Amino acid sequence: MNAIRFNDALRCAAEAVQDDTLPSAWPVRVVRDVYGRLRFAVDCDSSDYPVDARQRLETAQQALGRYATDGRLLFRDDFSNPDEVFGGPDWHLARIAAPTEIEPDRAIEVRVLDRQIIGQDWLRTELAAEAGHPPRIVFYGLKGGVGRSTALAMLAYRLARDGKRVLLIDFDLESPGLSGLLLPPERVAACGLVDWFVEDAVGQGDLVLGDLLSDSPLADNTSGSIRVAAAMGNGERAYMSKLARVYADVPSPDGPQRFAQRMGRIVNTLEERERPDVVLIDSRAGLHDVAAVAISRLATIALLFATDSEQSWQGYGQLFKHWNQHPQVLRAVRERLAIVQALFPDSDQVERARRFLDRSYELFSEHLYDDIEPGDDAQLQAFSFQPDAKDAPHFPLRVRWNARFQEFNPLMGREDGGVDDKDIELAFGPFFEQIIELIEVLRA
Amino acid sequence: MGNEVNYAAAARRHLNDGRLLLGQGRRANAGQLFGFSVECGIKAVLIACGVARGSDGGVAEKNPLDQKKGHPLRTHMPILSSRVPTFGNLIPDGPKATSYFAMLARPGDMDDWRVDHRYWDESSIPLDSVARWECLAVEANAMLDQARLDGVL
Repeated sequence: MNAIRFNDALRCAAEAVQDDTLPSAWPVRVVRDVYGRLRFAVDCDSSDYPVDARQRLETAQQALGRYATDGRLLFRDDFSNPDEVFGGPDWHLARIAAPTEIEPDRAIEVRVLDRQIIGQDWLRTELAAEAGHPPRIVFYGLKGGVGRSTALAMLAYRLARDGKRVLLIDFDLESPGLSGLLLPPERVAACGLVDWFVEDAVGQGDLVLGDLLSDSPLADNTSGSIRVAAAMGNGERAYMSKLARVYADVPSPDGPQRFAQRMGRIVNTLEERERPDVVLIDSRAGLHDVAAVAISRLATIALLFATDSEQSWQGYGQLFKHWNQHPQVLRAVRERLAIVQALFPDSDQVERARRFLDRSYELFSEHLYDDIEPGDDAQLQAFSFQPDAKDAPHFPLRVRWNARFQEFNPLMGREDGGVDDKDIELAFGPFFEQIIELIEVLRA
Repeated sequence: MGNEVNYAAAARRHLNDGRLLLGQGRRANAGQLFGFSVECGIKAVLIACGVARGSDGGVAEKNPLDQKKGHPLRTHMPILSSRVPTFGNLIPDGPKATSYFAMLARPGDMDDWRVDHRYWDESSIPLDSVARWECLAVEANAMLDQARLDGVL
């Protein structure tokens, strides 16, 4: 018999709980532990559950091989506070595809609690429902070097020119650099976000709030402002030591404060202090927890920067598949996504634009859009778009490649190797207009 | 190695029995059990995070770094919770332990609990603290629920 591997284990477990002879009063759930091992869980006391059903489940659990936590099932009496365990917010209805060669259209649904060391925040969307905050635009890329931070800086400048108060938050903690793009050294604030995280962990985050923000000179000659919360403060000497502690859970009277909650709290606090018109958030690249929080919990709009490369499509494909397996999360997240074709080249633009659009549509329609049949009554409510629909999340916003923006300093004039408004409009003009339109829609 | 010690089961038993006593107005002994429940909860996580085990299956008698000395984490509350951060070098999976211990909001609430309360006259035991000790015991058991779901217990 072939050993069960990670990819098969959850499907095998899900198939086992479809057994019609199991008591319908207590639907069987699946707990996947931090090592990927599985256990069946039933929301009743062990003494109430029929012995024969229990034996069948134990047999099915053991059949998972190394992916069975052990032979025992989990019942209410295994926990000190079973209501909290079985009623917890982290249970998700997972949709698991059957092996494609057997029944290509068949998917099984099962309620799963996925315990992970990291990565849970890709599936937590509750903070986004909070009302009353200004539009938050998250800049995200699977990999660096696609012009994400440059686009963010330029959009901040454009918004400031339009008279907007822009708050810019650099959550790219592992690669702090946004302040270098927007602030000359003498303007960098005394403290960075890492300082807030470490001080907050010992209960005195307020101490550094007054020293966290600085004004970017990029907005000096505009009617607006760009206030920057950098990752790192001026004259920092212990960044690595602080960074190593940023992600630790912090005890609090309301339960442990996870990184995601703390990240949300500092964003709310800065918004309350600054009253910005728009918040631009630089998320770190890759499939990292910071990005998970930024996209799943903070973003009003999440800009997904991509180039037409297999690395981009495969990476986004994995992320979208993950959401696709959790329908409630999928519905909460997909409406705030917008893909950006970064570094849009000078040559063969028609062909390159078409190819990007095709790949993007393929990606979104396969994983994020609702499947609807032509003439279906549900068509009007469905989240589904035609390939050429310009208001669709898959239809790319474009940032043109421009040699002047490679390793450039936005604080320099054109004569010193920097750029002027004409260069900026040429590269970013249409991108700006689309974002500004989105912001106006959100504010309305 | 013996298996007499089962900290997780003991943590729950002490909490449940403490609540029974509290329901009968027997606060002094209820408080004693809540303290043991917290201690067992912490030790269950320590063992799950790789702390060396002794002959009874509990925290090892000797410090693995210096066999001439006793293991600093084989002790009672409130000294135990105050030593956990100090002796992090004896907890092989420190980050995991930290994430569980973050579920205990105020371990300092047990600073006035003493294992010797069992010998004391009831009038000398700080009975007003029993409610806080119970809260911490509830948190310790919720922490163990999480560890059980995580598959580390």
